[in-house]
Amino acid sequence: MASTQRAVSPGAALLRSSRLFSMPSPIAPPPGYMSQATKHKSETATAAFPTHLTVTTPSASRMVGDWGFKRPLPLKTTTKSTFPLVRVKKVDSIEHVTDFQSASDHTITLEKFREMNMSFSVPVPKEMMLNPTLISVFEDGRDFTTPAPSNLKGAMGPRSDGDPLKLRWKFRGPWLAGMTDGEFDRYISKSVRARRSEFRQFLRERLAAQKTADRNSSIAEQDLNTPQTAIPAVKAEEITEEDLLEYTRGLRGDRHELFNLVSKFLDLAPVSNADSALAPGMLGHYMPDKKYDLYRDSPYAADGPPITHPSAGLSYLRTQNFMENHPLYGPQQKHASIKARIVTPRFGVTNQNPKIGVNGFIANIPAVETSFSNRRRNDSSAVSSRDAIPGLNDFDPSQLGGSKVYVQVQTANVDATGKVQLRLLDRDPETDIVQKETVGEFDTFAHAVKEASQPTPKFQVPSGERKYMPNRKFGSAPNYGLGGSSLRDF
Amino acid sequence: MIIREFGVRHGRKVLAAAAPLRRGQQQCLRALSTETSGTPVATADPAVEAALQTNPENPSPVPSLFARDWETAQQLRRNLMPVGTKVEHRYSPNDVFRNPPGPKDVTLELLMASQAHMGHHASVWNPANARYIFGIREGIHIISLEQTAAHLRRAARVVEEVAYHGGLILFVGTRPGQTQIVTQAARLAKACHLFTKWTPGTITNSDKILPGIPVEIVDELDRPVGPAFNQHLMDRRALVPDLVVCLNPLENFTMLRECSQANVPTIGIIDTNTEPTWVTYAIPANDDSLRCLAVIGSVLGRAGEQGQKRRMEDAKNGKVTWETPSEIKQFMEIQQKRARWSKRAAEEEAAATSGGGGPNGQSSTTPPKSSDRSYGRTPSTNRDGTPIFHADEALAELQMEVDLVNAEEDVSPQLRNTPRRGD
Amino acid sequence: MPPRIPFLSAFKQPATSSFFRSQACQFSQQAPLQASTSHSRSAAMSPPPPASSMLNLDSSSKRGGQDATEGVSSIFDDFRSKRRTQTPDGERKVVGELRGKNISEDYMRQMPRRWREGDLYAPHDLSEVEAAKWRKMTSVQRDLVDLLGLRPLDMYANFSVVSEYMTPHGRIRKRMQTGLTPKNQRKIAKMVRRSVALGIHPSVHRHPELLMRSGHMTPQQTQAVGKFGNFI
Repeated sequence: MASTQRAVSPGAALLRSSRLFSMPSPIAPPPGYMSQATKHKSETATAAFPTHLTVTTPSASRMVGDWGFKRPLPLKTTTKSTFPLVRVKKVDSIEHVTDFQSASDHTITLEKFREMNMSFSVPVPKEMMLNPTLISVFEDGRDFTTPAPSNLKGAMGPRSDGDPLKLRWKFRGPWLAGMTDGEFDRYISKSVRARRSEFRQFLRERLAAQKTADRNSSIAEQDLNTPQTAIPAVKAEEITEEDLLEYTRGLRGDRHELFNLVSKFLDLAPVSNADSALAPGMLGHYMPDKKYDLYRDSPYAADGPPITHPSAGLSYLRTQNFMENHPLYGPQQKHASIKARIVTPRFGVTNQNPKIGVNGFIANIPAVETSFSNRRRNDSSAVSSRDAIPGLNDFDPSQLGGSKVYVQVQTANVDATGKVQLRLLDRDPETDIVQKETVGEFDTFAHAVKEASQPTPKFQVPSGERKYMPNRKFGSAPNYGLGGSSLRDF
Repeated sequence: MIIREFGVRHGRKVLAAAAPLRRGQQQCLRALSTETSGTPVATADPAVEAALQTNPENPSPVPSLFARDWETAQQLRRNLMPVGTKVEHRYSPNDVFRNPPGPKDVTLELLMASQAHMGHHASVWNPANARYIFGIREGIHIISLEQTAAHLRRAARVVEEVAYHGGLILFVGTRPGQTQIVTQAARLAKACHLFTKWTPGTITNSDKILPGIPVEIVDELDRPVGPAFNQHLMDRRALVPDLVVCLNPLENFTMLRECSQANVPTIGIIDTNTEPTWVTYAIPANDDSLRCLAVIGSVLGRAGEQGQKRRMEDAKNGKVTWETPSEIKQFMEIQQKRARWSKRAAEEEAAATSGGGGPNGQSSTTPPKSSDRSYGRTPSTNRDGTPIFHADEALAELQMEVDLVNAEEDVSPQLRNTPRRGD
Repeated sequence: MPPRIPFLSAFKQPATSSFFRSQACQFSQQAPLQASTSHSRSAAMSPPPPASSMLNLDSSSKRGGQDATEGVSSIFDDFRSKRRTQTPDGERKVVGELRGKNISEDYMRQMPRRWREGDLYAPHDLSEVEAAKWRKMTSVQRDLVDLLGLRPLDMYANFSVVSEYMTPHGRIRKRMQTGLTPKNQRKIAKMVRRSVALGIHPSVHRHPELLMRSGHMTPQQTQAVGKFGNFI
């Protein structure tokens, strides 16, 4: 390698190792970012993911504006922010200013996300949503980026169940279902049209392999004694134009096979065929006696493969199957609830699904019926879910700092546009109470005393909180050897 | 007592490592050890015990415990100094002002750390700077560090020699934030500084801009020569600097133009968008970063300081590194002539009073404007009868003070001028 | 509004004493009720109910509602309970609720951003400054014709598309409003002109079919029009 490494001057060597040179170039903004095509947008809104490096500086240098760039950054803005975090879009511009803005939004969001101990899992299909099997994106069978040549060869042949190709998350071709018409036209004219002859060669090889297989099987049927290795395989050069024409005509009738071939040639991302003509029930119309290689197993077929690694670098945990320990109540069955913000209530100017902000990420309420959902239950005695979470249905101006709710997050995954989707679970009142008590928002003991001192217990606890119930699942002091038969002892 | 506990924990090993235990150390070791005290005494401070045991005959009831404790602590500090974490020097933005780097400290690392390599946006460059540019990164031109270092060393050499030859140096930095840099460089190099707007015409039209600017004449050891030259100073025009160092040439084009008209050499920090031919000695570097400017300013200031130091040493050894300006030479010759004439006139008058009237032609040669002043009392001529002006070599180290209002008193000991403006 | 238990079914159910007690308690919170006062008095003597029995309330009431006749009676009870809210107290309550709802909607109008799943927000995004930006109508930055692969000259008959690029007074919208490239803007303008010239789109107003559909959206004639033809 000494020959390839050119000798450079000491200044050049120094510059190569400098921090300015080690700044990565900014990545592309979110694809399919259609907000630019709308009338209502904000340039300064926090983007779905960071595109620039975050830079920080020691406090002494920050006081004089020295951030290591061409000129000192203005003190008025940079010294007043809580966190010394900055993203520099241009080190110098034509206007002789350094273009920068605060980067605390993404940086602090990352920090908050790490505090959640969340692991990223492969997306779960909608029909499995109720009882999903969560697979980490870091599992060996899932986490590979480029198809190895051996894998590609395997993909050419008959499909095997252990084919890992369908499980990968990175494809060289686009995800057709996520393209607009204009993008698709451009892709066809720019990328695909130039590869016609290449595709014909691909078809030749394919046809040659098919012919070899057919001949082998026919010979095997006729004469069992002939060894198959003795017969030479059909080569791609031996395929005549007429054969190829015939084969192409056949393919035009078999749309599914054609799609399979094209997607293998272009390495297209798998497309969900649940609603299309390629749905399993419809296939018999085309080729009744044919075995089809479906890409149904790809977890990214429904919503598209992610543009980054499916963990987006936000978390490197493989699982959430660990127990949290509480100093008083011992090991907890569930993870600590997360205090979330009700960003959009259900009934506003535009009635829509409420949006919950969990540590800076907007999440939908659970799709199944939970305490978040709007329906009244059949039983009239239960606490109506409409009032269970204050501020969920209507904006509550009396709440200082906005309405909050404690939530449980099941899993996270990255969608095709690079956004993080958090899947929320139904609330667990006991876990909420434990967490509230930990952060000092709820006093179990005072609550219990108050309950006991009231002559007539209330039927319902206002504002959606559950009563204190000493004989519940979480542990108590006597159970863990702390002594005392009642709460008064400690 | 934290020190003592720490000593108990760590001190024994350290003390054991020292080969011969001196008396103080032994005592210290005993004070530290937990075994010598035996049974714990209620009031047992080991230091007290040691004091009582060493001086049993001392009747003083209150031994000097503070001194003893202090000595013990010092001893411990000496012995325990190599133990534990070493606190290394970390970078602080004030380092460049507390301990300014000199020309010997110029390294590529220092220049890179002070952002000297960052030029301007690639589209606003001046192609004359192509030879200083290393490449493009992050959309900006990168200035070659080697070029910067070489040019900075050359400029430092220029400043040093000008200071050595008694020249008048002016540091100019008129952008906000450059005040401290400029004043520090001027203080080091015993030079002048300017951190406000350059009044156009200060050099080319100094008779109007700087009328009656107070100046002073000093000798080779920078001592003022007294009122002997007051007559000359009254007629004297304002001074022109011998070297101008400009931190931001882009905003000071007028000044650089005047300097070039007056044949004053200039040193300037040339960023990639600046025309390098505006200055005589260009230093290709980033002119926006205050950190870079502080480094360059302090290097040049240190260079000037070295030049001044060398000049003073030579002056003490009797070597004068500069020549007396021609106007002062001329003035001194006239003064000597006048002294001779007045002496002769006095002698003739004395002879006339003794013998008769003197010749009238002599009094007519005396210029009428100097008639009210007696130059015979100038110390230079009065020290002895010989014309000592050449031996004295009075320096016309005339300081031009551009902005006296903001100048500090100790910028240069030679500045004894009164403010020119009323404010 | 707190949950209610159908009045008659409360008596019909084989309920425990705790059930009556809680029922009475709830009534006492709202309004003095005549019928259940005796029950509440009798129930006050009983020991406080355990939490488990309160949790079992759901199942017990479910059991009671399974009979067909009880189902009919519960409908009747619903009707009656609705009539009960017509009392002055109930009216006051309804008025208060409506007023609270109006206040909430007024606040929500100040937060015009529609959040989507996966969006990020920082404290700045919830600020008034950002809200003002989302409320303002700005020019479109990306060319929708290129993005969607449209061919404008083929769409002259699609009056909803034509109307999109016309003002209510029949002028062609300018590029600042449409956000199109010069090339596509020319095509769109030609599409509008062609459509008007063929007589399939009115030249002075919106298409009547569109007007009919968005009848309730039509603003007053006296309403001020903003920079982008939007109504202020």
